[in-house]
Amino acid sequence: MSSPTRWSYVWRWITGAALATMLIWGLGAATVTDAVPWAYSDVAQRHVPLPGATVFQNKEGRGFTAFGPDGFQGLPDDYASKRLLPIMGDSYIEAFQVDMREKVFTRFNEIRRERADLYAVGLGRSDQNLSDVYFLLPRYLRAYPQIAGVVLLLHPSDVLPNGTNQRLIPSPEPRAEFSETLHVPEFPWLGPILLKTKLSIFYWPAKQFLVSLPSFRVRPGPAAGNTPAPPGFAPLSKTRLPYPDSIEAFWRSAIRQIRSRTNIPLLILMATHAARIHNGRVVYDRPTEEIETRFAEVCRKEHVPVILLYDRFSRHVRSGGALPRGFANSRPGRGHFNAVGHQLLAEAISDYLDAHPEFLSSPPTAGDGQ
Amino acid sequence: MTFNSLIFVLFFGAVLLLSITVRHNTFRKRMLLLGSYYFYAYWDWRFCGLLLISTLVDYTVGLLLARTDAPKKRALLLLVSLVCNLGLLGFFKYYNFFVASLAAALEPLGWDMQGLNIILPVGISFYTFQTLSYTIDVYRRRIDTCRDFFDFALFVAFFPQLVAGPIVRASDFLPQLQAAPRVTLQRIHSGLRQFIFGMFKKVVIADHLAMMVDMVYPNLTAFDTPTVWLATAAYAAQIYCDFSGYSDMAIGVARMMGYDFNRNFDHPYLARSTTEFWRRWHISLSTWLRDYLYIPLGGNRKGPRRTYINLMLTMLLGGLWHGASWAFVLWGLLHGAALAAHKFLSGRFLPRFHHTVARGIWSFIGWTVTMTIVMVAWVFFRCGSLTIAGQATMSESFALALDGISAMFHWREGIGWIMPQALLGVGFVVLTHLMELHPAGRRLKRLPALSLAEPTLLCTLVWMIIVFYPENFAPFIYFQF
Repeated sequence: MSSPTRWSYVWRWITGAALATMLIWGLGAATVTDAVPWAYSDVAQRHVPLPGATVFQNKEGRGFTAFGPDGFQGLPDDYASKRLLPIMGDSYIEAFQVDMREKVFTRFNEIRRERADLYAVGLGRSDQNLSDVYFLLPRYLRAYPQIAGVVLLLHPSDVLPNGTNQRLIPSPEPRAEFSETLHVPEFPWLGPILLKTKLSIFYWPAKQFLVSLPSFRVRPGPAAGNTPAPPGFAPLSKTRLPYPDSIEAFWRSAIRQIRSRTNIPLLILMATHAARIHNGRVVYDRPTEEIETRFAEVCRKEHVPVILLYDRFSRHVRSGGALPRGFANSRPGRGHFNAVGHQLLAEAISDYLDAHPEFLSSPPTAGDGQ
Repeated sequence: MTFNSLIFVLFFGAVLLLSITVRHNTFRKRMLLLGSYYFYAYWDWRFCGLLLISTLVDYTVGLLLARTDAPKKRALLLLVSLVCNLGLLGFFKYYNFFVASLAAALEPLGWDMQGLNIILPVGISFYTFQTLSYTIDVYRRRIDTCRDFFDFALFVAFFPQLVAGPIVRASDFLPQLQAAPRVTLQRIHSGLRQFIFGMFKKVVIADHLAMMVDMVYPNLTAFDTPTVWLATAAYAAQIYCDFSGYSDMAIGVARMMGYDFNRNFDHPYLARSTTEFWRRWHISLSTWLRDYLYIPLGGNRKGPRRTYINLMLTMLLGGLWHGASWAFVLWGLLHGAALAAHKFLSGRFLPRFHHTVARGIWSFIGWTVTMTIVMVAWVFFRCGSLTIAGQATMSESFALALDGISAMFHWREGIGWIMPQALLGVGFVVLTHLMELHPAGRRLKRLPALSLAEPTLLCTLVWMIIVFYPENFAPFIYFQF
């Protein structure tokens, strides 16, 4: 290396660093998971993805997601003339990992294309659980009278006390109440990057910065978002539930609280880990079986049908089908539901509706008070 | 404290600053020695004692060898060094292995043996071989005795190569300590460049390939043939990027401080024979085994049959050096057999082509056969690592390896997983190797140091290291050896 002048050497590094930053920025824009532009929804009374926003997820799976008004996915333009069947849930229904064409509501509509009696739409948000149904469902039903029934995808952990916003509650003490807080928009790509670089203490200020400057994002959505919550945001009051003389009493109370706010037909799907790879074999263990069956029994007594997905999922894998969780770029058998899992979900819902045509026509009666 | 951690960057920044500012060579060396012991103590301070014992034994043996010409006395001194060093290595590395093997053998007789749980001191295989090479070279009168204890201690403990090599020879390193090295901007630039390339290979390539390898290998029986092949190729790429990445970082760190280490890898997957593979893979170990084991055993001087036995024996011990597991033994034997077979064939049956095309075809056939052997051997090697990690017993890891090899050569249905990151990682290794084949590729790899392209590339790599830094701690594979 011939000896450069000190300044030209430094100058080359500064320019190189700038060029590298632009290069990485461009590569990030092309490949890193999109940020979700948020907007406040009067219907949901919380932040939901901005209508018209699209998200491209590249980290686990590789999917494209488009959002309609009020956080809906797959809501058709002519929704006013259709009987809607929202499929609610958490990130499993939000399903950034799965392409729109392969999500449960799309597959359901494909399966029932000829009958065309119902039109399924997605209404999922990361971390939602049983308590969110209590707050969201009545508001959506008022705004969308076309909703004929609701399918709710839950995990066993979603129905346990203290499941409510557990990440935001530092105290480990059990809580048995439904309480509503203003959900702060998150940036799915930002947290992992800062965690990886051991800079998580910067997450909150960085998030605030990005909330205020959407154009600064690596890859902003098609429209500006992040409108703040209106001054009139008024959370519903807390609802205390009995805890926990018996877990059944807690569940019974929770379902009755929801039922006290709406009488819409409600179908619950219980998602479990049906098959995973362990020691070179596909094992079909079911550690949450007791919670699932006891919760389903309470729901049955309260006239809320529950589909336990374990049998369907494990049967599918035993007969040579692909694992319902995991993606090409993540570990097979682990993580969110993949396209196969969504297809199985759609089939489970459709099969239930075929077997129980009365589900959507007859509103449930009050529980038997066991 | 690994090279790919923030604490190391801070530690090295301080050491480098002192290296530049302290001009007095003796002070400088003492400071580096202190820094090296601090670096080692950061893992586990208790093992500094072992390092010191190994240093004291070989330093003393070296001094005593200088004082005597009596062959028997010299041989006895050498024996003392061998017993002490190999005794420590054997105890810490192989105690569990032998107790477990004995327990497995005695189990059918109803005997239940319980052993101690011995922790392997990090780097012991590397510094043991380093100190042994010094004593053997002094014994052979190839180098002079080092009379400065602190210089010798720095040779043993110098932190860039302490825990995972490359295995530095006393004849290469001790002379470098005689005068204060010049720490120039050029050296820092060149060392930094190699360090960044090494870290990129480790953090961005190897650690992401590990995701597939770590899932597939403990569960080999569940996956189909293409997945097993891809996982094996991913492991081949992972271990190359992990180990050569560490070597690059070690060489880069040493160069920034003014010291030179020899190259440890030279595009091993271009090898057209196993003999060539070992000239390109872990060069400091293969040359050590050649100089201190193969040649003393007789090398190829005692006839063909003895040559084959020597090759097998050398590679068997090379396998055992990596770890106490039958899978490593088989890995070594497989390489030994391949080396012996190549030796046997190259003297008799391998044709010599004069036409370029014919030579090219023959090279390709040689490369295909070599890579198949290397891949199959990696299956044993990876399954052996499962035993060390406590994820499988020795018999389980052996059965797993056989199952994996069977799946590679007999079509098997199972779970298919063609992971895009694995394809990219393997593609990176293939590309960097292919670039070495053509002058234009080699030119592209060695960017002009002062062009704008090089800082841009290095900054891009740094960015990628930050973005792709793994969430969980991923130690270097060779730390376990």
